[in-house]
Amino acid sequence: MTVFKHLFKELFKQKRRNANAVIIIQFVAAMAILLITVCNLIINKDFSSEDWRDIEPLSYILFGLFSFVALPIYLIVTCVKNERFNRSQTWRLAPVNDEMFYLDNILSSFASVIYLMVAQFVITAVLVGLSSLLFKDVFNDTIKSFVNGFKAGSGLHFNIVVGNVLQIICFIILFSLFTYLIISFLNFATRSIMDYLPGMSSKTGVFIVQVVLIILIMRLLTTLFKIFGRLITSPMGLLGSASTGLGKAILIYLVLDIALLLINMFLINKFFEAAPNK
Amino acid sequence: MENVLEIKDVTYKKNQKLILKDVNLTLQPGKIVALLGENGAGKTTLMRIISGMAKNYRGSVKIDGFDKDAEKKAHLSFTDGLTGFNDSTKIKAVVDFYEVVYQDFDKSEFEQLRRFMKLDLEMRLSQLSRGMREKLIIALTFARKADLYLLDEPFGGIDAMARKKIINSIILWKNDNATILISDHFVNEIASLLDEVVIIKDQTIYAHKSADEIRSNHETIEQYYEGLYDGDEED
Repeated sequence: MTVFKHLFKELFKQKRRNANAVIIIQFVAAMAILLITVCNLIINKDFSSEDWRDIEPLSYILFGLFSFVALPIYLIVTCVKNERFNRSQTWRLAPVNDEMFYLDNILSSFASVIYLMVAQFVITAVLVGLSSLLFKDVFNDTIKSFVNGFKAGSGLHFNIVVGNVLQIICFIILFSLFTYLIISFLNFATRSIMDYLPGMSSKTGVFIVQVVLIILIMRLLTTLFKIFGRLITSPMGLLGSASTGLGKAILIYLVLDIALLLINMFLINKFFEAAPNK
Repeated sequence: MENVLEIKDVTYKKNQKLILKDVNLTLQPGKIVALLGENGAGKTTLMRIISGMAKNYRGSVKIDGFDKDAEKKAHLSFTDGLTGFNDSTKIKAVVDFYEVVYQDFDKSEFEQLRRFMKLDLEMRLSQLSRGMREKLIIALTFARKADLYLLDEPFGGIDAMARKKIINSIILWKNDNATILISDHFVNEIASLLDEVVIIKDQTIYAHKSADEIRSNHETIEQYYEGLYDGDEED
C-alpha cells in the first residue's frame, strides 16, 4: 500500500506539470484577447476609464469560457500520458502488481483533472474578486442582475438546482473516467492482439486492428445502451431519478466504467507488456 | 540456502514465433553469472520475463521464493533505460523518483556511485551521452539493495577505461548474498568476475557451467563460449 501511495504521488507530480501548463496557456490566452480588445478600442476611439469598467469583467468571463476548451484538451493530454506510462518499463518496474499500477495511473490522472478544475475555479474567483475590488458598483450590478435573472427565469427550488448540479458533476466524473478506460482498453486490446498475430508489428497492422476494434466497441456500446435504457425505464420504477435522461446516463456510465476497469486490469496483468527499453 | 532465482519450464512466444522453449534455470545467492548468447538469442526476453515485463509465458519464475509480480519486482534491480522520463528531467528528479518508489534505494550509496561515475545531479537526461546515461543506470541499479541484479548489456556505450573500472568495482557494490545476472558482449572483460556462465542457444538454456569448471579445462570463458558455435559456422 505504501508503494501504491508513493507511486500515485509520483504519477500525479508528472501530470500536474501538464495541468499547470494548460492553466498558464488558458490565462495568457484570456489576457491576450482582453489586451487585443483594449488595443482595438484605443485605436478606434478615445479610450476612457468608463470603457475599462465595461471591459475588465471580460478577464474572468474569458478565463471561465476557456475552461470549457481547456478541460477536454487536458483530458486528451492525460489519455496520451496514461498510455505512455502503461507502456513504460521504467514505471512498470515499480514494485506493485500491474493492476495496482494501472489503478494508480488512472486515479492520478483523475486527481490531476480535479486539480485543474479547482485551479481554474480559484483563478476565476480571484479575477472576479479583483473586479469587485476595482469596480464595486459594476460588480454588484452584475451579481444582482444575475441573481434576479436566475430567480425570475427558473423559478426552481434550491434543492433541485443543487441536485442537478451534482448530477452534472457526477456525469462529468464518470464520463472522464470512461474516456481514460476506453482508450486504455483500445491500447491494451490492440497490443495484446498484435502480440498474437504472426509477424504483425507494423503501423499498418496496428491501424487495422484498431479500426476493427473501434467498430466492434461502437456496436457493443450501442447495443448496451439500448439494453440498459430498456432495463432502467422498466415498469419496476425502482431507480427513481435514474429514469431521467441524465440519471440514466450516470447509471450506464457507472456500470461501463466498472466493467472496463476490471477488463483493463486483467489485460495489463496477463497480456499487456511494457515496451523493451535499453 | 534458498535459491535467488528459480525458472521452471518457461516457454515464451511472440507473434507466433518461439523465442524461449522449456527454459529451466536456478541461481544461488551471492553468484555473479554471465548470460551469453548471440543477438536475438533471447537474453533480454529472459530478463524481461524474470522482471515481470514480458507477459503471457508458460511456466513459473520465482525470486527468493516469491512468485507474485510485486514481490518479485521488490527483490530485483533491473538496468532500465529510463525512457519513462522526459528528456528534460534532471538526474536529481530521477533519483528522487527512485528514492520514493523503491524502499531499498540507498541515497548515500547512490552518492558514492555518482561521484565514482562523475555524474552531475543538475544535468538533464538529454545532456547525457550514451555512456554517461549507462553510468547513471548502473549507479541507480546498484544503489538499490536488491537480492538479484539483472544487467542487460550495461556497458555498450561506456569507454574502455571507465568500463574496466566499473567492472572491477561491481563486486564491491553488491551485498555478499546478492546475485548478478549479466548479459554482455565483452566476455573477456567480465570473465574475471564470473562464478557461473549460462549460454542461451536454440531458444533454451544450452549450458550452465561454473567458471572454475571451464577454467580447469584450460579454457578461457570466451574460448569456451566461442567453441559452442564452432560447429554451427562449419555447417
